[in-house]
Amino acid sequence: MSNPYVPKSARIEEIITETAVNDVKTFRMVFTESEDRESFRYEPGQFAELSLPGVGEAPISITSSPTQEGYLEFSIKKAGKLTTALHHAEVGQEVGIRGPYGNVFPVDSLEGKDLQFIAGGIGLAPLRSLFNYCIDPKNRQRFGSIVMIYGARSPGDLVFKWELEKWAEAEDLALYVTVDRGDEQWDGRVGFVPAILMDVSPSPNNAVAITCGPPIMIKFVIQSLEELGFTPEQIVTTLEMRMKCGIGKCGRCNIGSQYVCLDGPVFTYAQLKEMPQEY
Amino acid sequence: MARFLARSALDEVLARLARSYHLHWPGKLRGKTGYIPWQAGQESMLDHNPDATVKELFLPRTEVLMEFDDGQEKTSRPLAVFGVRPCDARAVHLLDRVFVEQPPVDGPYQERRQGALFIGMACPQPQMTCFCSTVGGGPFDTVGLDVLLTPVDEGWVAEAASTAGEEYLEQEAWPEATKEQQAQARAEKDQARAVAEEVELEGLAKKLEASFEAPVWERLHEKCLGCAVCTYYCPTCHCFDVTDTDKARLRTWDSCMFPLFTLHTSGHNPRLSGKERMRQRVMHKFCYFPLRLEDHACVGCGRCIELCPVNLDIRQVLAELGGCL
Repeated sequence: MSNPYVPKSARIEEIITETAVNDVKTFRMVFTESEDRESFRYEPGQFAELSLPGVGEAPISITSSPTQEGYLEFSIKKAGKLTTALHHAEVGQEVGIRGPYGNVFPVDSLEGKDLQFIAGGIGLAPLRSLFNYCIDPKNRQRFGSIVMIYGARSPGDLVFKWELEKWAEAEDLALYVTVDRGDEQWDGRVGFVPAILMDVSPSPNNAVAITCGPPIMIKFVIQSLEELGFTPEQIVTTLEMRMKCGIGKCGRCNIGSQYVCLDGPVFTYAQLKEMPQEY
Repeated sequence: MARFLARSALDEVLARLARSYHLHWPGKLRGKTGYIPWQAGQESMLDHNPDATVKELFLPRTEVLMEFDDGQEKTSRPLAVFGVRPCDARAVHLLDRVFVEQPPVDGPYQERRQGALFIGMACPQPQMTCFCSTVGGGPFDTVGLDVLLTPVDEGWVAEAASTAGEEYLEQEAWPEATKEQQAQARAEKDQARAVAEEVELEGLAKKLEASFEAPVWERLHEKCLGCAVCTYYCPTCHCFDVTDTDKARLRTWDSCMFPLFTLHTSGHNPRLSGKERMRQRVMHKFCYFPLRLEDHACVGCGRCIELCPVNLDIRQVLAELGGCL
């Protein structure tokens, strides 16, 4: 009898410290067994349950893109028991991974559209999978213009700085990085994400906005997008919820009759409006 | 063909079952009653619907999901339950929807469930708290059962309710029930048919879906202590936690009535007060489960009514909701 709770074994290949205050690290992991490397097929938007034996399990979004083959990346904020233990982990340590779980960003319906990415803080992690998928040379021509607005509380809270530099140099996308408060070294934009969004003022025509970040940011981003003329169907976000099994059994991540682990984590704003406000 | 199981033959029948199955039946359990492993010479409690439900044979209070050193296969006889009530059998049938029918299959659950034999005991004298007929079941309902036994003089009339049940009765070859015994069984069934039709469930799921913000929830939860006894003794509640010890990853029953159930690591909690939590319990049973899996996640066994320390009655809650929505 196959037991869906038994994870596959993976090894940490690389650890990148993302934030100045050292509370977010990105882990690059590779499955120990070649058959698991082959069979673990995921799409942008999905998540996995990561575990350390004796510590516990937690659902974490996959931040790498399926176009990056051979490994998985997870960007993890030190917050609870498992994430703290992972922050103490070293390269070479084994981690349990089961998944991929959840639905995916609606990649097919994004084809031919202008894509407006809006991320705040660690909320960039789940969007990064889709973003890197769309800007990959193999896929880039399937989409219209691609814009990323990314903000954090302070320069030290920006994640993926090493990649932001690459994105800033790329010619077929526009990147706007902002912080709520700058510091002595910061010579970039200062301002809240929704305000920058209004400055950039993307057209809603044939466009889709994809957003993730702190709940309060998402709320104001959605308000701004609606002001700009985006309809609820044109706004896509991804939710988080306390979760255990990841497979629709343990009964805790539901919002109304929708299970975030099965029907989400990706929802359009139109779908969210139909759901009870309990998230 | 209806068979007759004589009370005098019961011990032999149970002994035979116990050779092929890990046999359980109603008995004393931790100061209350539940489904316990059968042993020769045990006192019969077949006229009693146990306090603890049959769900824990398939979804134990705590179980090892995986061991960290090895994953040794455990081979054992399939489970059999003798004397399970139709309400509990129906509950396991509902749990199957979640753990087996909705992919992926839950291996540890399915392992216990596979090949399990349910020999049910009809319920000619339902309690004051029973309302099985209201939620689509009934004291003689055979959903989830392999054999239904109906008490008559000196024994039980046995009828198959599944192919496995037919095979079992065939193999047991109990005598055919006499015309009188069958008539008595029918009479029992007819007189027991009227079990508490107090609540109107027709269209309730849709009504409830629209009632999320209704003011009535403010009032309904006030009495509730949040002790969660209703969920632990519910045969269909199946929410669980996953935690680690040094040796193993465990699955343990959990309850939507507890604030920790939905607490995010960030400190955010989408179900902050008793109102949200009680609404979740009622909604899951009578709105969300029906919308997803097309059945009420309640079998009307009445345990939550009987055991609630503040006499919160789910029938009254539903009636109130149905009346005011």
